[in-house]
Amino acid sequence: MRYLLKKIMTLSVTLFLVSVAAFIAFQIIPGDVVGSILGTEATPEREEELRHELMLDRPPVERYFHWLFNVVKGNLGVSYRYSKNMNEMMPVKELIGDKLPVTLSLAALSILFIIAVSIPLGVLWARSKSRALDAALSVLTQVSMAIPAFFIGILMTYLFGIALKLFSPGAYVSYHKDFKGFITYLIFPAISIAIPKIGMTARFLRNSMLTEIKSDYVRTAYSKGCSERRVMYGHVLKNALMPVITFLGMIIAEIVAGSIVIEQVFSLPGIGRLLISSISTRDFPVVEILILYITFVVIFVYFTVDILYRVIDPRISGK
Amino acid sequence: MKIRGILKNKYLLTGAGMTFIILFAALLSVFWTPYSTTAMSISERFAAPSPRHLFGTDNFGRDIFSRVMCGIGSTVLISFMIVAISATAGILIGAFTGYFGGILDEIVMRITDAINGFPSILLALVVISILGPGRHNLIVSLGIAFVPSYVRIVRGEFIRLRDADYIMRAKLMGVSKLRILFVHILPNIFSTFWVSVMIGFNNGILAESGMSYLGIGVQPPDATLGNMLSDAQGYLTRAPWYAIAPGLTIVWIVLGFSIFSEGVRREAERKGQYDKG
Amino acid sequence: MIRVKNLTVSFGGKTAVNGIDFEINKGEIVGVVGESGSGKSVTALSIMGLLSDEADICGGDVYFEETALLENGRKAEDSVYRTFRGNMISMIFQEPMTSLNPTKRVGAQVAEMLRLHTDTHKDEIRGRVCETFLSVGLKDPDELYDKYPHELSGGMRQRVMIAMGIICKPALIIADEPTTALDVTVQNQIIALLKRICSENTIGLLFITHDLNLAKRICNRVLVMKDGIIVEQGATKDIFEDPRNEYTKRLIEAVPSRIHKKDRGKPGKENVLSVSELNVFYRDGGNSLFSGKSLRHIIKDVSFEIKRGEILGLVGESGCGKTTLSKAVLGLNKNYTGKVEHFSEYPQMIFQDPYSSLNPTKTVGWLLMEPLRAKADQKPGVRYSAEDIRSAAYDMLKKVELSEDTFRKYPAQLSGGQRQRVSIGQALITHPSLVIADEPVSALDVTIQAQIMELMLKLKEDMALSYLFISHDINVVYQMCDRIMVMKSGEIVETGDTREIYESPREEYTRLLLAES
Repeated sequence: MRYLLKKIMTLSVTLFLVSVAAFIAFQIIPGDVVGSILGTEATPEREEELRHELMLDRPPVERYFHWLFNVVKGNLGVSYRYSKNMNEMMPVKELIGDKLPVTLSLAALSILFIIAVSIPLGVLWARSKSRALDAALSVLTQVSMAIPAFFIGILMTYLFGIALKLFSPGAYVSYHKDFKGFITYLIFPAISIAIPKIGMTARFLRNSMLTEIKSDYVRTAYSKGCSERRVMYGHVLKNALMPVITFLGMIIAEIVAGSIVIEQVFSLPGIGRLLISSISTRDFPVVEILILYITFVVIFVYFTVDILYRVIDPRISGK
Repeated sequence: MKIRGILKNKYLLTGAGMTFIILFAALLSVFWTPYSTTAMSISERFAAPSPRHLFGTDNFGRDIFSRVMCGIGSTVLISFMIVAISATAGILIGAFTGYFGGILDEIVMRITDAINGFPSILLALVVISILGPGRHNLIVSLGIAFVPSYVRIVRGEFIRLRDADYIMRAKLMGVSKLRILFVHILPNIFSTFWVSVMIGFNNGILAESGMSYLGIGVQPPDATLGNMLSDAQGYLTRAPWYAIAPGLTIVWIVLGFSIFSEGVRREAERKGQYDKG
Repeated sequence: MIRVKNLTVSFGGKTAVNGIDFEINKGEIVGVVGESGSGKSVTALSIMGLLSDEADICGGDVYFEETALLENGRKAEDSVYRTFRGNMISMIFQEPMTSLNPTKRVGAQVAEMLRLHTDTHKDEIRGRVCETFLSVGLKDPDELYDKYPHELSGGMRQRVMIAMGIICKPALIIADEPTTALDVTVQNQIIALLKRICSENTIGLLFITHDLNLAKRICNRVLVMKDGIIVEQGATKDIFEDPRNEYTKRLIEAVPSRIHKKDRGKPGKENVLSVSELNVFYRDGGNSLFSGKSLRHIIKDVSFEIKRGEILGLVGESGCGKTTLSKAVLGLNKNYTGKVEHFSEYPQMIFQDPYSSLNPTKTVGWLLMEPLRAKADQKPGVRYSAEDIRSAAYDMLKKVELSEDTFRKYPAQLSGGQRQRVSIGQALITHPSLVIADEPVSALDVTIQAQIMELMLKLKEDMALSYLFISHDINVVYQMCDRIMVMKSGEIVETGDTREIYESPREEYTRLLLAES
């Protein structure tokens, strides 16, 4: 319990630091943005008005806390680039709104693929006595780790989209309209993200198992008269999976990052594409909120993994 | 005896061979390419791979093989510089914080923990969104983004070794702190560090091509493998080779280098066994 | 009951066990003694069929009564082994912490034996396990059942291993160094337990150990192994009182004993070290900003002094604070109160593990020269030429009886004994007056142990040294030290002249420590 409190405290401190960093990076360093929003033909009065509206005439600390409270309340600020209509600027919240579920579904689906494939593969590999299988898996995982996910995406688009016509690239279906169609469209992007990570995870699990197999307790298990199968599933697997949990936690952060690139390949309207376009157009309020959002998700995942680890591993929870 | 052992190491040989071809192509591209990388030719747009154009031509009729050669050069050089920046910073920060500990270590660890949790490509995106796209900014941003991963490894090793018996003896002898750090401890973490440098090099290549693919890395008309892929995606139906050539080249580089580093690791292991026996 | 004939095992071309024959009768306790690399563990593992894949069984037979477990170098079917392992022959290992599965409850691990070999009903299993826990002297079995290995002490873990070993009532237990990782007092209890259990249930015991004193105490019969060969076997009494083989003789002589102790010159009058009212603290939980700085009180009010030319022994069990004390004395731990006075140059240290106390990336020559280079850097007045340093290093090599070509070698190319010699040389090259030796011979084989002890005594005379000699091995301490201090949970419980303490210990705890053999 004390641990949990401590952990939550560290978590909040980290989030706070990130928010300060994000604020400095995107609101202080860029300086005065009024000119770039209004263009060159704006009157000085209009500029002054906007400056006041955006609170650019206030000291930074005040601006920060004002911004922070607004973010906490759910008011995420307005975009510099997009506007609702002639007179109203686009709130960031509306901009992000329906893009978030796309990215999260994509990430969740990839993680599902990774776990479903890599764990059986890793176990099979560790148990395999055949040299040919060992070599084949070794080459296969090496190759899978060497392909950038977006190139897999491009190959998939070409192979399954253009050549085999299993899906039509670019024809994204919104989850509002057709949830099944939405998931179907996500399958190929998810696989693209998953393939390199499957290679890594299977390798990691295999090495972890091979390390465990050399431990003394495995010798004890054999000396008790356990069969190889029983030793593997009854003793080795649980111990070998412990570090894999941490590893998967680390991978999740990379998956979220990976989805940014993959969204570009498959023209998915997720937050990744928004992030990239906001970066190229220097739309800082949007970038800022997106970065905070992603940080929050990543930190939350770490937190969950950490807690999960403590629940599963008696060596840590006992202390 | 020794040479024969190395020749037996298939990983080392294959990896070294694959890497050599890449480095050779990159070096050659500085002096000579079959065609000019910028020479356009309307009549030869989207030519399929042939003896005349090994990898075919692109939407402007430029020779893809020549552009891939130059792309290799940029990509490898950029990745090399990223590793140089991040590894040097990582060693310095990791060594001092790991060995001395204390408040400074605590602060640095909080920061690296926060950043480490953060995917490095995302951090690079943040930096680049402030600095703006471009080759130099890409190097700086990825260089910064990869620092924490080295800090973590180096720091861990220094913490492990700072209490080793032989380091305690060095302290008793009155060896100076800097000498303990860089003469007594550093050589001992070399093998671990070398592995992460090799991994870092590959990550650099993958990250660079990813960023350039997104259009926020190296800008056209300069060719890198990433921005070629980005161009090529629009013509996937008409000229699939345009995407496949740079894509497979990335795979070739990364694969060759990771096989090579696996070979080095095995060689070290074998040597270690020999020493013990 | 068990017959081993002409067993030969090799690892990658190197023969580990070379054609050995022996048998074990019902209820008999047979000891296998030998130094590291003698092939004793390999022998045990080949009976169980547990050798790793790298091992190559070249030939031989192992029979359990009428069943062949190994015939002409061919192993029996896996299923045959499975019915024997745990059921007829069970095994106890050296390291009870790593030998138990860290993520399974100990009760379940013992119960697995019943599940594998008996058809005990589900509801009875827990009861049977708890009974067995009681019979190996574990209290509160019901509570213990649901604990994990890391929650138990070393002695309790080894008792759990023994419970696991006997629960199926096997005919033979193979115990591979079962007490080496334990403290002396616990070691005595475990040995007594093993002896009792075997005689009560007429279980045979194959007892593998490097410790001749242990073998002498527990075994009916002893096999002495060297380089994969049984050089001598016979009744324990015969072997120890009238060894025939040259190696056996050397081995028995090398064992430090309390029978004869050479008289040595009296130490000087002046102090080289004086410690008064020393209290040492240890900082818990690292140095996180969030965890408060809680200091654990490790060493409590310790005062002592060491005279020039004296060897002061520090005896105690693991965790009593021996190492913490030495670190404070050396100034490596600054969290202390009290006074530590050095009356000469700073002391140097020799560590237990010769593998980890030498920097693996440096040559022996570099290692020997480094202390002098450091000294030259520290003191502006001191000047050594490169040639001086080099010749001093070669001198030191000669003093620690290593050949000149060792100079260019790396620690990995040396044996444990050679490494410990380099380690000693490195400590002595700056001519300190005091050397703190933390278990300097505990990781070494007995014959090497004797050589290193002799070297340390010789160098003490030649270089007018004093030692603070830390050890858990009371016989080694008896041989080496002029005076001893007995330490228990951070306090000195007794101190005095070695002979007096060994002959008439005042404290109960000292008596317990000395109770062995």
